[in-house]
Formats: sequence, structure tokens, C-alpha cells
Amino acid sequence: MNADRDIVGIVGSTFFFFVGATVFAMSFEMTPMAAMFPRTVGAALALLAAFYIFAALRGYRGEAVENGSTVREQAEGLGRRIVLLVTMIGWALLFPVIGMFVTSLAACIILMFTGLFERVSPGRLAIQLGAVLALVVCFYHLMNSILNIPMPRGILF
Amino acid sequence: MLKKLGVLVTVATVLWATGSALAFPDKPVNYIIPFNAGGESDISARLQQPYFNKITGEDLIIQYQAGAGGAQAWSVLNSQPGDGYTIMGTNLPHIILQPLLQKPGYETADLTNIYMFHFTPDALLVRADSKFETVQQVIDAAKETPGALTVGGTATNTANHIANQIFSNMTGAQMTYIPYTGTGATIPALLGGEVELLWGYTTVAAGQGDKVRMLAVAQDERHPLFPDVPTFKELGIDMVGGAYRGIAVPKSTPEEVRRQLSDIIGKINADPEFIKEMEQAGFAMLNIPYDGMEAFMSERQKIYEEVARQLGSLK
Amino acid sequence: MAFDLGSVLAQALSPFNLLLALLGVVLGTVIGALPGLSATMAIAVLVPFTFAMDPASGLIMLGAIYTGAIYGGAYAAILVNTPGTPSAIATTFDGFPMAKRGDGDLAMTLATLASVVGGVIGAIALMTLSPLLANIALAFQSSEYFWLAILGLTLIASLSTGNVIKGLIGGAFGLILSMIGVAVVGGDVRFTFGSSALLGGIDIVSALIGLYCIPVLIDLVARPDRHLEPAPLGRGFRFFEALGLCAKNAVNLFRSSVIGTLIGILPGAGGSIASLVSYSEARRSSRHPERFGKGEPAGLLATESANNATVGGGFIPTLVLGIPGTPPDAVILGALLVQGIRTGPELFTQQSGIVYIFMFGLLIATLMMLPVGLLIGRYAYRFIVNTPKSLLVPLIAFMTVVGSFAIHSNPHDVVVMVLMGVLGWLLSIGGFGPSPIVLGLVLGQIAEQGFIRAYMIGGARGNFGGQLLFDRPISWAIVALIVITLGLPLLRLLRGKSQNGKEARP
Repeated sequence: MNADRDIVGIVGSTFFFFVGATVFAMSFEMTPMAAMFPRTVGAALALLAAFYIFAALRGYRGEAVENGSTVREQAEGLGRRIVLLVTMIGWALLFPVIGMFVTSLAACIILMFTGLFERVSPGRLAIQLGAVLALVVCFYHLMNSILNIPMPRGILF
Repeated sequence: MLKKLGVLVTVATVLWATGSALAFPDKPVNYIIPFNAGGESDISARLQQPYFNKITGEDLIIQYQAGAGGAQAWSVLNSQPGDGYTIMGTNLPHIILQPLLQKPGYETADLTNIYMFHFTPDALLVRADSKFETVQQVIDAAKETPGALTVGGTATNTANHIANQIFSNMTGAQMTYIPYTGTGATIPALLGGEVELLWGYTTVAAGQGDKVRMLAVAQDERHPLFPDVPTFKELGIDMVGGAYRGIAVPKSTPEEVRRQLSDIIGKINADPEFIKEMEQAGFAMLNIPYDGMEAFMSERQKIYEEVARQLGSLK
Repeated sequence: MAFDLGSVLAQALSPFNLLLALLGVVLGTVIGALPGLSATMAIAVLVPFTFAMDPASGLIMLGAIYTGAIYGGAYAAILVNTPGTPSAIATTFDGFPMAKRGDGDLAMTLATLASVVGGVIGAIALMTLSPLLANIALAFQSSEYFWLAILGLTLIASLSTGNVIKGLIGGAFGLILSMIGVAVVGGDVRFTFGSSALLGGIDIVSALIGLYCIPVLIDLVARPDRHLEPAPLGRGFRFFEALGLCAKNAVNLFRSSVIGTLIGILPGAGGSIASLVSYSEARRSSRHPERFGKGEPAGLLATESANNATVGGGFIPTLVLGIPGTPPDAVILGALLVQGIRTGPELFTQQSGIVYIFMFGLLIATLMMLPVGLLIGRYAYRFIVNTPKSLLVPLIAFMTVVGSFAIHSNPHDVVVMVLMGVLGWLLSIGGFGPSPIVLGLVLGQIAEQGFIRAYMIGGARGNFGGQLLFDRPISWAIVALIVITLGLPLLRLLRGKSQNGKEARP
């Protein structure tokens, strides 16, 4: 692996190239007015991505202003990151089925432990669990009763 | 022991059921508007709100679940509890055209409408300083150079779009239909001169006062707020239509509750104060109770299917 | 004028109305600070309560909530890097880097001051120039909206100076995301892949929450170090330091407020374009454009003054033309109609002083934002800094889930939010920042519809070029700005290259 080359950038651009090409191809099934933008933007995306792949293969690598993380940095704490993502995905998919309150409480407790780095005494842990419970109860109440947003109850609550 | 419990539960259920039958509603009713706040659906619901409270003594809580031109809310209506405490606004032609033209996640038959309470008649509008004084002038100009006149309206495959298609069918006038995101966006387009004409509703004319001129309305009789504006019928164009608005309940709602709700909405609709407020805002009253719904819906279904076929072939 | 200034002032300043304005600002700020909860929602919930009140009092309260909520959007943007509303997108660019390096207290104070300045300028424009300025809403047609959206998109170039191609790729991807759903023009169902949940398109706010907030959460749990650098104790509000910065940026503040007011008048454009354009302008006219995006106070001042100026601006077409400038305006317009108040130019000339009471109320509410904002802002900053990560993570995560659900009470929005978050995180590893994608998503619909409508109307009139650009002086001006925005950095770059030879590589 050549450290000078923007490998992840190439991978990302390949993804975008296919997105652009797909959008371009799909635009031919639309009415003329609705197809105009998808065709133009899809083609532009595919061309830009192809150009970037070409440039990156020849050793170009720019530095985006708004880019804080690299692959190496992201490898740190990867386990926790994945726990967080899995929790969020599970939360989003399950709350309409099981109910907002129960899933949120469960997810918040998991995330609390995910965000816990130092050892804490049982007393402090109890306080923190209480705080999480209070948080979920308060927000649930705010949404459900005050702002009239119908929270999904699902099979549990 | 178990038996006893069973009896107790049965008794309680019966008591609860009769109790609720006697005093429905006995808690606030949620009224879901499948559009953003501020539109015609919202305003008419806001006008209903105080009368609902006056008649039942309970509050009507208005919530918004906008998305996909209403389809997002309508596709989940039947998964709501069917106890009569969740009702949802429905709109025609939306609930007929969407299932015909797209896959919106619901079918027209899935929605249990219990009352259609008003409609906003289609209206052909021009700016106050426009050269068009009558519909006939528009037809003549459109026939002279087909497609050169631009007429604005809300989005594609909507009440406005259909009105344009029907108008064109009946008169042979060809105009270019320009779709906008919502009624709000069409008004500056007309006033600013981007389009020459606008398919709108009587509510638009009511809100804009003397800045716009309405050439005709698609109603059986003239609108009380605009006694000088002719109907299309008077002009020999058989166009009656617009956006109809009603209320639906989840499928699981018992027959009796459906009737009770229908009665309540009917009572609101009969209140002279309410009628006055609605007409002041440009709405036209409509009374299709639960019993008349099937006939009304199948009649509209036929009309829209015809137009949908034409719009589909336009593609 | 047919009203008595004294009685208007006396009514607007009655203790009850002042209390309502205060209450409204506090409530609005808190709601606005929570991502997903919007001014529209807060106002819609409170509308029935105002029916029981005197119309003027009700209106003052609704206006106060609105202005507070727009201001509150800055909190989440600065402290958690999450724009709770599209109008706070540009606030994250410099607000979060400031908070990250320990200047969160200064950032909060600056945001408060800028919001008050912007709000006051917007309110004054509303009070004095409304009937005149309302014509802007009519002068802007589809082609102008198209060019305005393109002007907003040019910001991509400056946001991604180091790697413009990646920025452009992200922007094009965002544009494609904006096309998902039923097309307004043509009625086609695009890129939903048969899912009825996508018919309504990708909700911008849930995409914002996902793209910005999920990566923050992921970073939060990855490392044990603090989320934000804490400010040294006893530093206070840094009020005078902030005031000094404002004085130095007086031109910037004024320009941004005017841009905010003017763009606020355009129905459908709203706070997002206003703050993006004023950010872009502030960056272009700054002597240190390279500092933008790394915690430059001038950037924060520009966006926050612009988005609060849109509040006053948005009321102009609402009250004069009966055309709501923004969604919260639409709710307030509905409330007015139900109260039996007819909007129109007459409202300013003949009717009772109710409109003036309302406008004074709005002005007073904006001024109240200063003490209220300073206090709440300081508390919010301390809270975020001092809360242990084990509580901060569930708190923020819960807000993202509940907030994206609350927008339309729709579970699909939450799934979209999380997926956009995962996508945003993966792309940021590849060097593709979230902001170009967001710009494309926010501006895509405006650009597409503007262009296609101009195309159709031009086609009908047999003069496409004229309709799009040549016959439209306002379009000339916007296109000139686009050329300057894109051209100047290029010119600087070329000059820098010729002076420094090979050292100034992009």
C-alpha cells in the first residue's frame, strides 16, 4: 500500500462514480422535465469521481479544510464506535415495534456504559443510572404530553 | 377464581363500552392534519376547534404529520388506535389520485372517511391589472397561440393540475401548466407576473382581496363571498370541482363511533357562526355524512380516473 | 399614520405582554436548542392558547417564541456541532471549532449579540419599510431562486479549499439526495426504489442531525478526553471581549443583517440560504479568509445575525401580501386568519394598531434575548462541558432519535437520520466532509425547480435565455456575485502561485 495515495478517497470516489452513473441511467425512464436535473447532476458526479480516481492514482492528494479524521484516528476506540452505531441502528428500527420508552431507556443505558471510561463506585453508578432514567422520563413527557407528539407505544411501552 | 375474573372483565368491558357509547368523547380527540401548518386543511381545522369544544366539551388537539403530499400520514392511519380518539384529515383528489398514479403505501379504500365537510372550489385567477376580463378572452388567446399562455398551480397531478386538464378538454384551450411547491408559492408568481393565470381556489381570492381578479369558480352556485364572479357552469363549461376535505378514522373504529363522530362534525357544519367564518375565508360548505360517503366517493373516483388516464398519457 | 404611537407603546409594553414576550423567548430558546424541535412545532402547539388571549398578546407571544427558537438553534450548532434547523448550518462551521478549543463561552456570547443585532435590524425593517420591501418577494421569480441557490452552492468551493474536487463530489451527491421522492415538476417518483416511506423525500432536518451529530457521537465514545475544552473558571460571559469583536465586525454584522432581512422576505428561501450567503460574503470580504471554518468569530457573527434578521424579514410578505415567508410565518398567518384579521397593505395604514403592537412586541422580545440568551447560554455551555461523557452520550443520542422522530411523527425519519449518520461518518474517513452534501441537499430543490420553471415559462414564451438571465436585472446581480465569489480566490491563488513559485501548492 502506498502511503502517499489517497486510498480511502479512491474507494469513496468509486462509490460516488456508481451512484452518479446509476442516477444518469435511471433518468432515461423519467418525463423530460423531471429527468433534466438527475441526468446533468448524475453525469457530473460520475465525471468528477472518475477524475478524482485518476488524479489520486497519479499521486494527487488535497487536504480538505473540514476533515478531522483519518483512518488511523478512526481505528482508536473502534469497539466503542461500533457499539454506538449498532445501538443507534437497533434503536431506530425497534422503537416503532417495541415502544419508544422501553427502547430509549435500554439504548440510553447501553450508551451510558459506552461513554463510561473510568471505574466508578456503585453509588455513583446508581446516581448516573438515575440520571439516565430521569432524562428519558422527562423528554418522553415533554414530547408526549406537552408537545402532543404521539410517541409509538408498540408492544411494551 | 379465573371464571370470576373473566366475569369481572366482561362486566367491566360492557360497562366501559356502554359508558363510552353514552359519553363519547370523554377525553381530548387527536386530529391529525397530513400537511404543514398554515394551509387550507389546517385553517379549516383551526376553525372547527372551538366548535368541537362547544358541542362535546372536549378539546380537539391538532397535530401535523406532513410528508409526501399527505401520503405519509394516510399510509399509517390504519395502524392508529381505532377508538375514535384519533381522526385524520383527508383530501380529495389526493387520496384517489395518489394510489392511481404512484405507490403511496395505501389504497383509496383503506381510508374510512366519515364526513366531507367543505371544499375549496377551483378558480381561475388573474392579476387585477391583467388584460383578461372574462374566461372567453382567455380561451380565445389560448387558441390563437396554443401553449403560449402560462398558468400556475400547485405541483403535478393535483387538484389544480386536474382543473387545467378538464378546462382544456372542455374548451380546447391549450395553456402551459407551471407547477409550484404549494399555494403559498403560486401567489407571488401570479402577482409578480411570472405566470399570466393561476389555478387556485376561492380561498386565494379571499386572502388576496383586490390584488387579484377571479374569472370564474367551479361551483354549482356562486360563492356567497363573490356574488359577481360567474360559475363555469354559467359560462357553458361543465366544471364543478376543487379540493374536497373530510375526516377519516382508522379502519378498526367501531361503526357506532364512526356515526357519532360524523354527527358531531355535522353539527359543527350546521352552526351558522361556523358557516359564516368558513365562507369569510373563502371555503365552500359541503355536507357528506358517513352514510352518503360511498356514493360520493365512487362518483368522484370515476371523474378522477378519467382525468388520471389523460394525465398518464401526457407523460 | 392612523394610529397613536403612545397607546401602541403603552399596550406593547404592558406588564402582561412583557411577561409573555419573556416567556416566549425562554421557551423558544429551549425548543430551538433541541435538534428536531422547531419553531413551527412550538408555535403550532401554542396557537390554541392564544385564542383565549387578546389578539395582540397572542401575537407577541408567538413572535417571541419564533425569534427565540431561531436563536436557540445556535446552541446545538456551537456546543454539539448539530444544526437543529437548516438556518444554523453555517453556525457549525465556526461555532463548533471555537467551542472545541475552549472558547465556547465567547461563542455563545457572540451568537447572542449577533442574534440581537440581526433581530433588531430585521424588526426595524419590518416596522418602517414593509410595504416597500414586500415588492422584493414579487420581483424574485423562478430564475432568481435558481441563481440564488447556485450562489449558495458556490460556498462548497470555499469550504473545501484544500480539495475542491471532493467538495464538488459531495455537493453533487447532496443534489441527488434532494431529488428523492415525488418530483414537483413532472410528478415522477424518483429514486425511492419502491419504498413509500421515501415518497416525501429525505427530510432535511433529520439528514442534518444524522450527518453532523452521529459523527460527533462516534468521536465522543471513541476517546476518553473531554467533548469540549472547558473555559477557565471565573471568566464570566467575556461580554466586553465579545462586544469589542462586534465593534470590529460592525460592517460584517450590518451586511449580514441586511442580507438576512432581504432573503427572509423571499418566500421559500428562508434562513438557510440567508446564513449561507452572508457567511460566504463575510468570508470573501474578510482579510483572513483562511481562518474561516477553524473558529473565526466573524463567521459566527455573520450567520447568527443573518438568520435572526430573517424573522423580521419573513413577516414582511406575511403581513403585507398574505404570503408566509417561512413555515412558522404560515402558522402565525393561520392564527391571524382565525382571529379574523385580514392581512394586506391596509393592515399598515388603516386598521387598528394591532400590527404595530405586534411589531413592537417582536422588537422587545428580540432585546430580551440579550439577558435571557446570555444566562441560558452560559448555563448550557457549562452543562455540556461539565456533564460526564457517560451522561452526555445518551442525552445527545436520545435527542437525535426523539428529535428526528418529532419532525413528522414518522419512524422512517429516524432510520434516515441514522443511515445518513453512518454514511456521513464513513465519508468523512474518505475525506468527504458533510457540509457540501448538506448544501446540495438543502439547495437542490430550490435550484432544480427554479431552473425548470424558468425553462418551461421561457419555452412557452419562446424566450428561454431572457427568462433565465438576459431580461432579468436581479439575476445579473446574483450571477455577478457568483462570478466574484468563484473568481476572486482563483485570482488570489494564481497571484500567490506566481509570487511564491511552487510553495503555494493548493
